Parts: sequence; C-alpha cells; structure tokens
Amino acid sequence: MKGIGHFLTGMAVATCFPEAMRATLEENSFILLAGGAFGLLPDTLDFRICRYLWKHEYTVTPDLDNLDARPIAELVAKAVDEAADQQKTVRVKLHTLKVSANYHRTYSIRIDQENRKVIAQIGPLKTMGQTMGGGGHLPRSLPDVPKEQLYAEAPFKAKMNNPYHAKTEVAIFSGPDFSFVPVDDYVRMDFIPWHRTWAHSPFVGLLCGVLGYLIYALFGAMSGAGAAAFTAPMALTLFGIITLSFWGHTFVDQFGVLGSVLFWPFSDNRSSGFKWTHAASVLGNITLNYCCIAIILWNCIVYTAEANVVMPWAAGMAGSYSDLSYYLVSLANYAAYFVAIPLFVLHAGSRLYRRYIPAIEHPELGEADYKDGPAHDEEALDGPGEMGSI
Amino acid sequence: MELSLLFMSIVLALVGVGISAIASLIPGLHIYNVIAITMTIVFAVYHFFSGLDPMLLTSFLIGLVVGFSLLFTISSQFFQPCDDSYRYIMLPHEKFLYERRGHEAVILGSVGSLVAILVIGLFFPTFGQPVAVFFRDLLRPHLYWIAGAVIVFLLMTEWPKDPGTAPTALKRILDGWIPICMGYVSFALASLLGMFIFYRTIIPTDATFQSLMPVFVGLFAIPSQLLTLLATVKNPPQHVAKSVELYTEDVVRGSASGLLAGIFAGFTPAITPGPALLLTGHATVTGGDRQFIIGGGAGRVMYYVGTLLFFFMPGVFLRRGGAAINISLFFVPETYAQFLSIAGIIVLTGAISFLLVFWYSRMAIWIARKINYKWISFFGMIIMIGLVAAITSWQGLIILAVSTVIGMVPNLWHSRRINLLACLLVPMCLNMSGFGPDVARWLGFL
Repeated sequence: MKGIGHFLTGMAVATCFPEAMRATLEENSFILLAGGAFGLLPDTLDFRICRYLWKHEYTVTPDLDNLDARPIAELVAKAVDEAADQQKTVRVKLHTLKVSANYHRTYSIRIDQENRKVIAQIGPLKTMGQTMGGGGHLPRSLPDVPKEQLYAEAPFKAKMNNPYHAKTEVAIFSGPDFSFVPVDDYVRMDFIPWHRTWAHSPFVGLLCGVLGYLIYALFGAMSGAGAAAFTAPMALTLFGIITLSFWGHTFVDQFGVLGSVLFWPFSDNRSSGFKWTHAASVLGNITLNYCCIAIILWNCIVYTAEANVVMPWAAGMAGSYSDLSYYLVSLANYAAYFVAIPLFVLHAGSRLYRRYIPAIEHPELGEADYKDGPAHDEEALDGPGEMGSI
Repeated sequence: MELSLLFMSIVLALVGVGISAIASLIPGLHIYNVIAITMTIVFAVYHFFSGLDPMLLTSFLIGLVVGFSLLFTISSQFFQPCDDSYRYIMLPHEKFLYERRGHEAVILGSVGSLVAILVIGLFFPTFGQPVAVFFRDLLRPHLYWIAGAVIVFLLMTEWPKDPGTAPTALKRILDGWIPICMGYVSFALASLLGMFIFYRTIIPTDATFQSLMPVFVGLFAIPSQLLTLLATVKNPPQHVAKSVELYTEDVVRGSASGLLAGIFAGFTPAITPGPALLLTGHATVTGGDRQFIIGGGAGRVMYYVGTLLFFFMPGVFLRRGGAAINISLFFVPETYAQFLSIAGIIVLTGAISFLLVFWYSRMAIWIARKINYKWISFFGMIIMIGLVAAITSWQGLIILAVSTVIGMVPNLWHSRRINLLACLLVPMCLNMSGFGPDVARWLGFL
C-alpha cells in the first residue's frame, strides 16, 4: 500500500487507545503521532536504509546509445542458471535509464517459467508520472533502436518459481532488483528482496514498542515519578501504539502480492501475500485510507464530548458513549451509514465504470490490454515513486 | 439586501477580477500580497471608505481572490520555464510547456477550477453549513495533532531519489541521503524562521498583519525568479489546441484529489494546498499528468475560494487564509442573505474568470513570444521586492533576504520545497498545542 495508507493505519490504531485520546484532549499530547510514525517506519527503514545495504552479483546497465534487449535477457538467464548450478543466491540489479529530468527510457523483462526463458523488451520513453511521452524537450537526440534489438529471448535450464508478477518494467527512479534463490530442485525469484524483510517483521515491531516504552518510562522516572513511571498508563499505551501500529503495517501488506518476512530472526523467508489487491491499486488504497479515516473520526466522535455528536439510531437512547449498548448502536449506525454505504457505492460505481466506460473513452485499447495493466503498474510503482508509493 | 447594493457588489467583484488579471501577469506574486496592498491603501484613506457598505470592499476582495485563484498560475506556466539542471523531476505543467502544450495545461487546470467553483456554488449553500459545523466542532480540539501528523508524514516520506547506480554503497547512500538531509536542514531553518516571525518579528507594528509576506516571498517567489534568471533553456513556441484530450476518469479523480486537499487545507490551520495535495494525491492514488494538473486547479480554488466562503457561512464563520483574516478586519458577516450573495458572486466571478482563462492564456503565450522570460522574471522580482519594502519597510527586506537564502536550499539540493512550509506549520502546531511559548522561550525569542 502507499505510504499514507500505512501512516493512517498507524494513526487509526493509536486513536483506539482510550488513554491516548484522553491525553490528546486533556493534555494536548502528541502521542497519536507515534502511531503514524511507527506505522510508516518499516517502509522508511527499507527505502532509506535497507536498499543500500544489498549487494548484487550482476547489474544490468543498458547502453542508451546502443540499446539491445539481448544482453539484458542473457544476463538474467545466466543469473538463474548460476543460482541453480552453484546452489547459491544470485542477485541482479536492473538500472533505470534516465534520459532527462522528465524522461526515462523503459525496458522490461518477463520470466516465462513454463518455457524456461527470459524475455527482454526495450520499451517507450516514460515520464516521471509513468505516462508514455513523445520525447519533447530531450537534451539530445536518441539513436533509433534497430528492430531486431528491441526484443530478445534467452533460455535458462533451471526449474523456476516466481511468486510475483511475470513481467517487470524498469522505468523511473532506482530500478528493481531480484534474488534468485535455490530451493530444493527449483530457483525462487524474489522481487526487490531487500523489501519487507527484517524491517517488516513483527519481532522488530515488538522491539520498537519495548524501546519506546523504556525510553518514555526512563524519562518519567528521571523526572521524579520514580518506579511508578514503568507502570504508568501512558508508558504502556505508548508500547501498545508503537507495537500495534508497526504490526498494522505488516498486516496491511499481507493483502498485496508481496508478503513479508514474518518470523525474522528465526527465518528469512518472505511469505506470499493474499493477492487481494496490489500496492498501486486505486480502489485498494482508497478503501484502506477511507476505513482508517473513518476509524479516526469515530474515535474523535466518541471521545470529544464537546462535539456532542449523536447518531440517529441512538437518538432515542439514554446515556452516552461510555454505555456499551449506546456505543454499539451508535457504532453500528456509523458503520452502516458512513462506511459500508459509501464504500459500496464506490466499488459498485467503479465496477460499472470499468465495464462500460473504457470501451467508449479508450477505443484504441482492447480487453487484452487491460488484463495485465495493474500488475505492470504495481511493479513500476512498488518502489518509492514520485508519489512515494510503496 | 438592497438590489443596488448587490449590483454594486457584483460590479466591484468584477473590478477585482480585472485587477487580479493584471496582477497575475507577475509570476510569483501572491493574491495575499495584492490584498495586503489593497488593505494598506484602504487603511491609509479610511475616511473615504468609512461611509461605504463593507459588503462592497468585501466583494472587491472576493473578486480578487476568485480571479487570482484561476489565473495566477498562467504566468508561471509560460514565463518560468524549468531548467533541467536545477530539477530532479520536472512537474507535469513544466513538461507540457516543453511539449508546446502549455495552453492545454492551463485549460486542464481550469477544468479542475471550474469543478471546484461548481461544487462551491452548488453544495456549500445547500449542504455545506451542517457539514462544516459538524467538522469544525469535532476537529477543533484535534487540529494541533493533525498539523503535527502532517509534519511527521512530510518528514518521513521524502524518499531517496538516487538511481542507485553509484559504484559503492557509501556513494549510493550519499546520493540518496544528501537531498533528504538538506530537506531536513531547510525544514529546521524554516521552522526557526517561523518561530522568530511569530514571537519576535522585527516587522513594524503597523505592518504586522503582513508579517508573513516577506517570508513567503523569500521562501518561494524570489528563489523561483532567481532560478528563472539563471536558466539557459529556450522557451518553445506554444500550440493553441482547439480541443483537449481529457477523460471523465481524469476529471473525477483529479478533481476529487484537489477538492479534498482544498477542504482539508481550509479546515486545518497552517496547512496550505501544497502539502494537502501531496497527502490527498497519495490517499486517492492520482495517476498521470492530467489528474495532477486538474487536482492542482481544483485544490487552489477550493482552498482560496471555498475556505473564504466558510467565513460567510452562518453558524460557521471559519476564518482561514489571508483573505478571510483581512476581510474580518472590517466586515462581520451577519445574515444568510449576505452568505448567499457572496456565494452567487463567487459563482459569477468564477464563471467569468474561467472564460477569461482561454483569452488570458493566449495573451500570456503572446507575451512569452515577444518578451524574454528572464526580463519578466527580473521585473517581477523587482516588483516583489519593492512591495515588501513598501509594506514591511527595511525590516521586511532583511527577513526577505534570510528567507531567500533558505528558499534556495531545496532548489539547489533537489529536496522537497514543501519542507519550507515549516515556517507556518511548526509555529502553528506548537501554538495550537500550547507549547509554542515554551519553545519560543527556549529558543530565546521570548
């Protein structure tokens, strides 16, 4: 999911802690921000630190003046076979081709595991907004690529298992990398293998929670609270917020294609995701963000007494949000009117739009063009793209 | 409200649009600067205006804001070409300029603006009041941490932009981290500057209502002008297309992102359309250049105009943004009739400004063809500095110089310019939380 989805997940988690909301309203505490920060932290660690610590056996750097798909395909195929033959992990980095401040020359590789071949293809110029461009305002003219160099296939011998999308486009910012890992009698291909590893593991989340708790409690103890600081509700709340916000990130990531390393430090294996959505999915991201904002607003409604919000279904009931029945009726009302119905309208409307409108507005694109669309988008945007997508 | 007063209000609003059209020709000049000049003149000759209905001056200022919010980006579109060497990423409207499609970019932005005008005109008078009251009351005690959350998000989401091609890990880390660190440096410096302005400003007391003017001119306008002066690129001739390639999805998604950004910025003090658009762009997953440009147009109008209408909304009276603050100095909205009149004037001036865009864009293309863009930027810079000097005296010029140095940091190190908004975000967040005076005391400003 995009960074803001994780950030909002953390904030939503934080607002569910009564002590945090009390401190927010009564003491102007900034404790809720810990939720957002630690909800986002796993990706911050990955994209700001982990990716630099990774070494590659092979790097693909096509020559802009003599673009040729063959060496790209051959090098990737060689890496696959080397992993199988030498029973060692082989890492490959595919560099992007920056042409100007606005344009990148794209290329793609496709792993055809059934026919055991790597297909490389030189692609169009794309802008930083990931749209195809005509190449206006290029700092220099680019040589034409001979037709036979635009497409190449290279066979590999090893049996292959690619749990991610078959095709990867190398477009903007830093290019993707792969690990080819020998497992039993096959080679597993890991997409951006430094991503969603230890920095996404629940253990690190727990560690962060404990550290946050200790720092807060120690400060409290040194400020005169003594040993009581270690059992103070705020210290425990901070532990809960940090840990659960971090775990919330890992949980949300499971709904995509790429899973995460769940059992680090005991295992480095990255699980597969549920494949319900993907990182750049518009509907997936909007749904998550909407739900998180709805949770935050709900908690604001419940704890902000001066706002005095009364849900229609609870209008005739005595009591307040501190009464369980009043709370549940109000919550059911809120969930039905302000969460379920708007999301249903959004998803139904989107389905209808996708079914009927594209045929009118994009006559040049056929059904087949749409089939692989989202997958390509995710690969291209799964890095820290222009909009910070992850 | 009397018909003659309404008629005069409309006329003055249209005059406001006309003046905003002239002022919009100066790239970098902000509507709040123009309002500042207007207010300075009004205060200087107050006796002349004292007999007039305040609705008239209010309408004039609304015309200024509406016209400006639709027109002010056109001059930047054509008069400030971006030089590759100063940028890591070229923004969509800059790319359109080089593809000779600047006019198309202007129209796309205006489509977003028109959607915002329609939403303001249709929904604010009908459903706006209860919704605005609900969110105002609900969010009032939470605004400080919402502003804090925006700060945390901005600081944590500037990702390394290096291509990862350097031969060693250390070099790659430096490539990726130097812009991020310089972003933090500009954030810290802008925060300090903001705290200084809020707690120990040196601006003369009679101009303190414009104490932020030299800061914003220095952080944003002058660095852009300077970079334009240093640019070596050629401004390409533009093609005025008779039609624009535009899909329903682009309009819906782009506008949704922009409208949300405008509303969010309008409700949350210290949040401006820039960071708000960044947030809503992420949240709604806008894609492609068209949606970006449309979102920008919708966001600007919703923020400047929609937020202003909240001030006139009975039972809401939300005072956000420079225009509302200045209007509140002489006008207290009282009746529903005033609110509806203002809403009507906004729709009318918005529609006229939208139509004006087509002609205005052609005129800007003509000017860009006839006059070297560097001269335009040079004179624009002189005007801006002159305005700062006239309104805030030499003290303002000192703040302007300091702000300009800070404002150059993101441009030279390819970090986010949004970090500079810390000058507003940090002091406001601290003040709303009640910690502002403590921090100011710690910094030695109190």
